[in-house]
Amino acid sequence: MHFDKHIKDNNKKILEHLTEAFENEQVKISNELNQIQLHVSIVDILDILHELKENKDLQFMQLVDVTAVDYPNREKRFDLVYMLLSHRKNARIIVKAQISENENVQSVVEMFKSADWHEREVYDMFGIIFEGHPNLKRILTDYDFEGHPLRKDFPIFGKKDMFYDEDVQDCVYKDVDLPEDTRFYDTQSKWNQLNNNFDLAEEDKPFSIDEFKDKE
Amino acid sequence: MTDKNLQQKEVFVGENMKVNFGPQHPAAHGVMRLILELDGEVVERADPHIGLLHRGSEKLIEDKTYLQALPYFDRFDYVSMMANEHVWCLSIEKLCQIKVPLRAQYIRVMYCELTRVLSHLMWLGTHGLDIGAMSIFLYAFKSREKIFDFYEAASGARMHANYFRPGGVDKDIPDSLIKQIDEFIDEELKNIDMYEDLLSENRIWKQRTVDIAVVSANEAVERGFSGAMLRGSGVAWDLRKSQPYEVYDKLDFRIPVGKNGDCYDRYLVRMEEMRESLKIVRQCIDKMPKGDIKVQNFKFSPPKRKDMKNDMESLIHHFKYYTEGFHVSAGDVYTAVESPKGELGVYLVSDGSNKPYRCKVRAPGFTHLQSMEFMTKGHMLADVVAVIGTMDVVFGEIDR
Repeated sequence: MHFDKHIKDNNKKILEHLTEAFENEQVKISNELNQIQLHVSIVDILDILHELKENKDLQFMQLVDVTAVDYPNREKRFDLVYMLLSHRKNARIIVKAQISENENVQSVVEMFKSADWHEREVYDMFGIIFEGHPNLKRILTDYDFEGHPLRKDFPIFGKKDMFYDEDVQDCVYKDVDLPEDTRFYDTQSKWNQLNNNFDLAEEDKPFSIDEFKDKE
Repeated sequence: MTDKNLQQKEVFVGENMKVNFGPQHPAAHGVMRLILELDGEVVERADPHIGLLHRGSEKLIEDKTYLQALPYFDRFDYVSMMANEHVWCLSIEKLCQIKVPLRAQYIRVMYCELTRVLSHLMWLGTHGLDIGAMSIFLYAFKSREKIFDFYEAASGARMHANYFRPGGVDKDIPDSLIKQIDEFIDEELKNIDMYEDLLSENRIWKQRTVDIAVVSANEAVERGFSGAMLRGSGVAWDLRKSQPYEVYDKLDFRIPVGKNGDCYDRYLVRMEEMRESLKIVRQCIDKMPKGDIKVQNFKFSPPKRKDMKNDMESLIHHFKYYTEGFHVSAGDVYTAVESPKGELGVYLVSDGSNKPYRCKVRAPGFTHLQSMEFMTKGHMLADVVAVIGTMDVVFGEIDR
């Protein structure tokens, strides 16, 4: 693919070093779509990130992002995702850990200063509590907001409505009351969709990128 | 004197003053509420309160098809619209393993670089206005207007273009437009020289930017800086060079790097970046081949309108594309591009249906703004606006 030519060789080296570094620990390493992912246990997250940062062959110095994904039907509800970048080795890595609703996770602010607001955002949006975070407050939502909006069981139209009350001369909140039922359209067809259906599609109209390469 | 008065007096003597900066302050670049604790005129503590422009886009995107989610990306960083669309398209293409036609890649890169100029001109104008240069604002906006015309010519919209598509771009661009862009490059290169004449050696400009908010290379990396904020501190890191996407590896351009890591260096880096961007645009014009502008796989892109009117198969494809949309293979992917502000990333989780399961936008401004206290501590109150300006914050992407 045109966007991950550069990564292949780098990733090979990084993968070797990773298997070396995490020999004794329970870490699942994958390299799908040319991106390295580590699946770890939530308890080890601090050690693993520390190793990734301090290991001379890895040097993942920058924490690019922290986020979560909600799977409400799973036993451990959330996927906590850390994305790291190594400028020196020119590589990216995604560290994933499963965490349940009533579990807490250690904050990594001490290690990565950039984690501060990212962890606050995850707390705000998913309600995951980071132990040892210096200032774990809501960040994007309103000051008195209730609930965690990016959880799948939070309705898309919200729970509270805010409007200006002429009589009180102030902003007041009330429960969302939609005059009409929300309609959920089922847009999906009953047939199985083909994913990665390139063989099939190229019969529709053949297209070859090499055609243009010659002209250049 | 009563006890009550005494107590009140004590509060003011020797205490730091708290200033509420914003949310409607013109130098706050949007809606940021900044609580500043001042010792005299020196900033002791800065606590940005963000989220006043939070629209819940990530939640809304989960409820839309992949195509319907695209316009939301225009509205993240609303001064570099196409750069945002680009990262969304790239992430879908990466998950589906779509090959994009070469012409489409060149068009996209060309527009991304025009967008970089657009965004940097906005930054230059407003940053200048904040710290005392009025005329640069008017000049910069005059230049921006021309790029908006190119946006309009390609997409029909001046700002929120909605022009890129997963698998290419929406419509082809005419040769006359390419000629206009070509003429604009020469003109704009002269303009940028003029802007630098106005500012670079200007005594007031230097007093306001040199040695303000110095960030060392190590701090910049650790605090998650990217883009010009990182390069201004002397780290030669640009995703277009180090992890090239699209056709950037076929193009010849250089990465300007600062030395001191202060506001002035970041200004110089951005000015030089504009020149390099225009160089890239010129190369794109020269190298752009003829051909398709979107992938000719009608499960992922709409067929020609003429075909849709005559051919049953095309009609079905057209209908399914715009109602159900395409399905994206299950998996998760993190894609990042070098947007004008820095590393703009999308973490996309797909469950194989026609709607994204989770879409996290990694906004560069969000990461930069959290270092507000670090960058302003010990500086004067007036330097706070210089720091906000140098970060190039846009609240569309920070609050999302």
